[in-house]
Amino acid sequence: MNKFILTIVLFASTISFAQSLESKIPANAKLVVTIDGSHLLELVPLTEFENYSVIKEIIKEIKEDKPHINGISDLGFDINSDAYYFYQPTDSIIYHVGLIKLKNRVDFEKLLDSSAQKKIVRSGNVSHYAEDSDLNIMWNDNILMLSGGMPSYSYFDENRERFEAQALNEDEGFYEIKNRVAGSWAANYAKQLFNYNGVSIASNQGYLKSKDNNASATLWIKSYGELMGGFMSSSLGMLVGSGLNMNYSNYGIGSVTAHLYFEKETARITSKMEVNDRWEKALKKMYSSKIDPSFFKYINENEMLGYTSISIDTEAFLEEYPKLMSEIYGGMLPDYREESILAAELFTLILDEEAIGELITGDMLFVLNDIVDKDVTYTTYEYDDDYNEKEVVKTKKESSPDFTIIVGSENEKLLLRLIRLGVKHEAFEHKSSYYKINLPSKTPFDLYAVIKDEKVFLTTSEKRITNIINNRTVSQVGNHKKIMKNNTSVIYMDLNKLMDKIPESELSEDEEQFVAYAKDNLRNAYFKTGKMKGKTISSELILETAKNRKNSLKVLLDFLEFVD
Amino acid sequence: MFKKGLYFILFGLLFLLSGCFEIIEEVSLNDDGSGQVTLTLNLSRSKTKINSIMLLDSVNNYKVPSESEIEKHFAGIVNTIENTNGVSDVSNTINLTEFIFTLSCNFENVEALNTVISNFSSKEEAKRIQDHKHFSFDKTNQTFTRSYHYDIAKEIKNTKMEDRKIFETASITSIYRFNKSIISSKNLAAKISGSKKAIMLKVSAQDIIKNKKSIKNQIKLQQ
Repeated sequence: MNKFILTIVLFASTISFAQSLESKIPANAKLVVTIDGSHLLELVPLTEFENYSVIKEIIKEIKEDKPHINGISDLGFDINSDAYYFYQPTDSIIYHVGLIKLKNRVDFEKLLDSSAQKKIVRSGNVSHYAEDSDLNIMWNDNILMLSGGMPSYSYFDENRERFEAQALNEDEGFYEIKNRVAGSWAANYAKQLFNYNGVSIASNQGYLKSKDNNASATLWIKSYGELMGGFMSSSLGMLVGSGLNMNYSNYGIGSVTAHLYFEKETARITSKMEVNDRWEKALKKMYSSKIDPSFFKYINENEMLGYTSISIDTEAFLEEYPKLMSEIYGGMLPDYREESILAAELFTLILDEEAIGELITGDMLFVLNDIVDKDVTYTTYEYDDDYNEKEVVKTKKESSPDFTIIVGSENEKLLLRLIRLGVKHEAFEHKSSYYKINLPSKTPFDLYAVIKDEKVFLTTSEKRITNIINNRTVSQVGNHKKIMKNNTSVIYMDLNKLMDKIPESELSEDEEQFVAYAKDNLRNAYFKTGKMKGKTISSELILETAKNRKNSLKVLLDFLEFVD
Repeated sequence: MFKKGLYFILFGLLFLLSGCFEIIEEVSLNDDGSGQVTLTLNLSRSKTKINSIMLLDSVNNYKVPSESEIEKHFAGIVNTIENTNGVSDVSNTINLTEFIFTLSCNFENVEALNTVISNFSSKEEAKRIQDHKHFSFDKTNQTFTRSYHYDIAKEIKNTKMEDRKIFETASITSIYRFNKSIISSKNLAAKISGSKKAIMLKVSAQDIIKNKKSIKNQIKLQQ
C-alpha cells in the first residue's frame, strides 16, 4: 500500500513538475521571455508551418545527418507548450537560460551527434551534456534546459590577481583561467537550476501581472535601470576604465513589459514602462497636453500617405527635462552630481521657458500628402556619324515628396519679425500672402510658408498654401482624430497607398514583386506613444494586414516566404 | 573586388549610390602608338539621389565623401598621372552640380595609357592591370586590343545584393579613333563609323554581368 501511495505521489509530482517550467525560473531573474507555443500553433498549424520553404530547408538539412527526422514533431520538443528564456546576472557571471518542454526524450537525444552522445553524463533520470564551457544542456523526460554563462568583465578584472594565483600550470593565462572558472560555475549553476525547488518567478506579482493569454510572446524586465546597470558594467566593461562610476539603479525606469499579438487583421507589439515618482511628475506635465483640435482642419485622410503628430507641452518640457536629466545623471554619476545640477540651472537661466512655449506650443504635425512626379533635367551625350560627342540635356521623371508641416505657435508677432529678417537676408521670398523659402538649388522640392491661426505652415505645394490661406482646405480626419488626441505621438503610414506611389522605374524586378505583394497583404502601420497612466507610459506598434486572410501571423509568414 | 578594378575607383561610393551612371572611354590613337585619352564618369541622371545621399554620413555601410574629399581625392589621382612617365597635358574637370568627372591626357605609348588606367585602382589591381595590358597596340600587324582581366560576372556575384542593384542601368561606352581605316573588329556589338576611322561600343553593365556582352575588342587597321 505504501508503495502504491509513493507511486501516486511520484506520478503526481512528475506531472506538476512537467507542467511548470516556470518553477525553474528563480524569483530573482531580471528578464523573462515567454513564447506561447500552443497559441502560435493555433494560428498556424504545424502541418502548414512545415510547408514553408525555410522550414522545409531546415528539416532537409537536419535529415541529411538524421534520416529519421521528417518534421518538427520528430525533434522531441513539446511545441504545444510555453517556452522560456531568462536572464540572471550575478556580480561575477551572467546566466542565459532557455527552457523547453520535451515530449519525447529519445527523439531529442537522437539529435545529438554520436560523439556528443558519448559525453552525456547520466544521473538517474537526468542527463547532462556540456558542449564546451559556454553551454550546458540538461534534460529529463519532460524538460530541456540550455544554459550559458558569460563571465563579468569587471569582476574578473578587479580580482585578476586572485584568479591568476589559481593557475593550474605556468601555461594557463588569465583568459584561460577565466574561462575555466566561469565554465565550472556555469556547470554547477546548471545542475542547481535543473533541480531548483526554491521560490520561483511565479511568486513575483509584477511578473504575474505581465502575463496575457492572448499574447504569442511576452517580455518582462524586472527593472530596466538595473538591467542596464548590470549589462554595462558586467559584459561590456566599458565604464570600468572610464572612471565613471555609473549607477543605473537611479535611472528612474522600473519594470518593462512587452507583448506580441497576432490577431485576425493586425500584428501588434505593445510595451509598458513603469517609472518612478520623479519621472511620473515630469512626464505628466510634459505629456498632458492634447493636440490642438484646430489642427484637424488641415487633415484629409483621403489625400495623405501618412503623418506624424506630436503633442507635448513645450514650456513644461523645457522646465522639467533639464531638471530630470540632472537628477538622473546626478544619480547615475554621483561624482558629477554638482556639475549636472549646475548645468540644468544654467540651462533654465538662459531660456525663458514661457516665451519659448508660446513660440512653439509643442503641437506638431507632419503630413506626407503625396509622392509626385517631377521633371528633372540631366546631362548625357549624343554622337554624330563619326562618333563625335555632343553634350545634351534631357528630362526624366523623378519622385518628389509632397508634404505639409504644421507647428503650433502663440507668438505670431515674433515669428513675423523673424520672417521679415529672413526676407531681408533673402532666405525667404515674399509672395502675395505667403513666403517661398529659398532652399539650396539642389533640394528636389520647393517650400512655401505662411503663419495663420497661431500656426506655422510649411508645404511643398503652392496650391495647398493658397488653399490654407483662403480656408479652402478639406477636413476629413476619421479615426485619426481619436488616435492623435489620445497619444503623445503617432506615426502613421498607409502602406497600401505608399507602395502604390513608389515609381516602378526606381525598382528592380524583385522589388517590384515585393511591393506588389506588400500592397496586397499590408494595410496601415502605426506607432503610438500614449499619455501617462499612473506611473506607466505605454507604446504600441501596429501592423494591419489584409482582411481576407486567416490571421496576421499567417500573412507575415507568407510574406517572409515570398521574400525568401 | 570588381569595383576596385573599375575606372574611377575613388568614386566607387558614388557607384553604390546611383542606379544610373555612364562611363565613357575615348582613345584617339596616332600611327606611332601615341595618342590622347579622355575618361568620363557621368552620374548626372542620378544627381537628385546623390544630392540627398551627400547629406548623409554613410550609406550601406560606405562612408559618404564630402565634396572637398571628392575633389581632394581626384586631385591626388591627377597629380599621380601628371608624374607618370610618357604622359603629358593632363587636364580634368569636376562638375559637382551634374556630377560629371572627366580626365584627359596625351600618352606616348599604350604602356603609359595602361599606367593611367591603373591609377584608378588599388595597388594590387594596378599591378594586374599593367601585367595584363588592358590596352595593347601591335604596330606590325596594326592591331589595337582592348582587354581586361576580371571575370566581372563572378566578381559581381560576390557583392551584396543591395550593392548589385546599382549596376542595373549603368552603361560603359568606348570610342576609339584612328588615322587609318578600320578593317575589322572582333566584338560584333561594336559599330564602325561611316568614315571607318572610329569605332564605338556601348554595353550595359547588365549585359557585362550576364556575360552577354563585353567591352573587350580587337581592332584591325589597314596596313
